Amino acid sequence: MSAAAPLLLLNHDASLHRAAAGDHEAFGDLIREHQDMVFSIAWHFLHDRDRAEEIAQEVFLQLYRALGEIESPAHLIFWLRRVTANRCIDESRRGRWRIVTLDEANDVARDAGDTDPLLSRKLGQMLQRLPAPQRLAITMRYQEGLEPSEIGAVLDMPLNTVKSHLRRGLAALREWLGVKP
Amino acid sequence: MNLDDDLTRALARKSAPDGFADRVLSRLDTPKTHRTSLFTRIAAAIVLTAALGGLTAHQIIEHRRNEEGERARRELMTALHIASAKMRVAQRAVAHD
Repeated sequence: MSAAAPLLLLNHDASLHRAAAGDHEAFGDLIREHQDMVFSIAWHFLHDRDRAEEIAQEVFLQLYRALGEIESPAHLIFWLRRVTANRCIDESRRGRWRIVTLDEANDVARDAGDTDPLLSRKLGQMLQRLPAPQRLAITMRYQEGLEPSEIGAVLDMPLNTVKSHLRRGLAALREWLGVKP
Repeated sequence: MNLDDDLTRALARKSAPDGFADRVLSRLDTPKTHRTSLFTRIAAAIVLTAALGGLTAHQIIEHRRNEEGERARRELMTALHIASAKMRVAQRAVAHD
């Protein structure tokens, strides 16, 4: 760990404390630091830019009310992932879905950089066909790079359940893509 | 094709829409409330107790009013019955004559 790392952690802790004390500027810093993570989880789950933003906004508003409970920057990330996942599940239960247009898909695909936009879009659309728990487990695994045990903690699922969701979800994606395991 | 790599690329983090943080901050309508003072809590308790007391008294008065109304109605009905009986007697007497 570099010498700057502890200083960075201290800064994050300080931002958290200031935000918890009602400092809007510090809370704005926290939002900007984590907004891509929260928005992306919601976006990959819903494939709907407006709904993803709405959920992400609600997550941060909930965070504002719960700042006093957040113990550390690591706890903050865990909390944000868990609350975002729960809100995505709630959203899927409500069934407020709509078909994403090609323009929107292109709009988001511009962020894809050097990836194959067609394949990325295809995978994103296939992900929507998976059951919600499989979709979330795969999003946490490949977007956030979490290990199955960490996914279990975030989604409040036993390790074997997480492994099963990942295995089944990936098997379905392989089958739809015509890829042999 | 390596599905793991493709998924990692497909599920890379996206940028939140421009102005996202500002939109969240604009929804924080009021600054965080500070701990409510003891005086405020006592005052709120008094107001609540007075309101509940007033509501209960109102309900008791209303109940009594209803009871009195019902009694008056019964008395009126009895009086009408008596008057009606008397009228029938008088009619019969007139018809008989």
